[in-house]
Amino acid sequence: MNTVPVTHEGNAQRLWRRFCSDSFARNGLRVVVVLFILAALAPFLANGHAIVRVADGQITFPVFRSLEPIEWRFLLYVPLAGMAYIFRRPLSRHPRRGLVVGGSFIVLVEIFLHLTHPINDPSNDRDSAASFRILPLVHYSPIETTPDQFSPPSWQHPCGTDSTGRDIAARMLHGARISLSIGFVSQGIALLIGVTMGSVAGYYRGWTDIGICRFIEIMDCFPTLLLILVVISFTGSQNNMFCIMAVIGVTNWTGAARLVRGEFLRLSAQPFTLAAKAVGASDLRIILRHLLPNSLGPILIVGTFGVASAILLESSLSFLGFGMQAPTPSWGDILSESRRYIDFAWWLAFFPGLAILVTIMSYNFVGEGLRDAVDPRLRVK
Amino acid sequence: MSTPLLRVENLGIHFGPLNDPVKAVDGISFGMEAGETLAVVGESGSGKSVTALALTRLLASPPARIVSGRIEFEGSDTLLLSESELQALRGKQIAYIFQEPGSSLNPVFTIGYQIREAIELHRPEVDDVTAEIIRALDTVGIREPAKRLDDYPHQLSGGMQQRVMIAMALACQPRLLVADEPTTALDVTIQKQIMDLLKELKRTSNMAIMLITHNFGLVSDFADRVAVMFRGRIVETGPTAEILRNPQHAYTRALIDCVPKLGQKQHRLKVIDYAGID
Repeated sequence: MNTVPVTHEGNAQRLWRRFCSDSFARNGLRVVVVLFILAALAPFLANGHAIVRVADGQITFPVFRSLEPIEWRFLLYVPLAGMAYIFRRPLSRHPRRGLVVGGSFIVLVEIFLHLTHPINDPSNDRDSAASFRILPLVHYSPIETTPDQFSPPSWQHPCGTDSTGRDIAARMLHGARISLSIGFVSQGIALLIGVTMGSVAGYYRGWTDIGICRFIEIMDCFPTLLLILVVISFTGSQNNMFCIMAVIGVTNWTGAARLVRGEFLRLSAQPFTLAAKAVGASDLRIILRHLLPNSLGPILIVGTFGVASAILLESSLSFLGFGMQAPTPSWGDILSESRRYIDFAWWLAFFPGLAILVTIMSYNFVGEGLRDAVDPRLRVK
Repeated sequence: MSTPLLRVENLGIHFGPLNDPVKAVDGISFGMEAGETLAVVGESGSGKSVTALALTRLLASPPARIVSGRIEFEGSDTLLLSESELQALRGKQIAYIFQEPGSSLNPVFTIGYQIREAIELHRPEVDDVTAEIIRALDTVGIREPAKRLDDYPHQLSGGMQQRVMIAMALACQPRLLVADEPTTALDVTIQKQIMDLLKELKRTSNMAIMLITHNFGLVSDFADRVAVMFRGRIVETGPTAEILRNPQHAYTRALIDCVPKLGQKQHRLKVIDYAGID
């Protein structure tokens, strides 16, 4: 007699298995992860200072001296990981609380670090005497100007240099951090607003719903780019990275709000919402603990697509000259500069354009993979 | 005579437009003693579920409007309670079991987690919650309850899911259990098991049970008293045996006749003749 194997996998595991069965989604996720690793390690990959230098019988690590406060992220995360390891027992007893504490700590560190300008030290020690040294892969810092302007891609400058002789590869590596973190943080802000609005509208219905829906429609009437430009022109010269993230986030939450509202309308009519109410759960508890986990799939999907569009939006802003301030590298900024020299310096447009294309495409593949994994009707077996 | 556990007086619940309302519940009154089992019998739309939900104000309003009456539970009117007092009442004093066990359990959480939530909400004094969950699952006849804690609702059969719902309701030791058609979505053998379980619970605990059903077949050997509802009114109420033996109202007779009897030759099932009742 055959026994039927009982699968003991949760929704998350099933989702993950379905997601991984889609090769586009799988590889898209890989590319995104690689991009994040490259972006995180940017100061160690593109820097004018040697990683290890041996001179006069002394071993020094010059790369750490040139680090901006923002680079100390790693040095903040290492003790964080250590703390998580030490407190793993109490954390595993309350996994949700641990997740919330860890998550909010990471968000705080990130916001703190992003408020400081990510500009590298333009100095270098490439030519200083040393008996042994390991230079970073690209041994130029992103804002360091060199005499060889408009040099095409070579071993020296893998992606060429721009009008002031800055290394494009170094600028792109450092720009990746800005593009990726703007995508994530601004979409995080957008989701926070959108999910809150949508869940309140969908759960309470009635006049609350009508009010929020009209507000969403009013927000949708504004052309997003124009709205952002207006807001940025008000914030004036102090448009730092956080400001741009906030503006993109605040103007892009309506899609998420609509989706979550629909999802909550559907879920709150389900018997388990009534059952949760009958057990004595409060409205807040039902929204956060019962309905939100049920609509996590669609939220994740809309968030993934949103990250892609936020990156694109930031590039467009930089292209228009409203993005990050001058010496700070960003993909859109490199593209914008390439406009004037496009007839002979093709590499100025090609590499940042390729980076944007690959990133957006990967995110969209991940988003589509998630959508297919969540919606079994789209699955082709 | 002590105060009754539950006393409903002249309860009226309307839906739809104010000037021409649909009177889902039209001025009904009934009472329940502690530990008593009352069966509320009636067809779909007769207002029995609406009455049950109104006990702890679970009806969404709008669209529902409670237009008259009072619902006294242990001496206090639940219609006048604040939302937080109601939350303390729901689950702790009055627990519910619903018709569709599959969709009444949250699909993304394990059953252990969902029972834990009920216990943590209403019985903060319990130290070993896991042991309490296992005990609750054991009470409702789930074998190897410790192994089932991490199961998701979709991994259980309908009968098991309904047992979990009952365990969840029992975990807080309510004074009144409202079973809103607990067996309608289940097949007949499971229906029997669940009714046997409820009977067992009735015998072992001092919990009052309000069984809402359209099936007179379930009522006979379960309920102490029966209230028959028809079009928002209670048309007949009394001890079960008496009603079954000597139904007074035409609708009650029609309902009793609807239950197919084994061993009796019947060519077609009886259909209620509404013209005759009106």
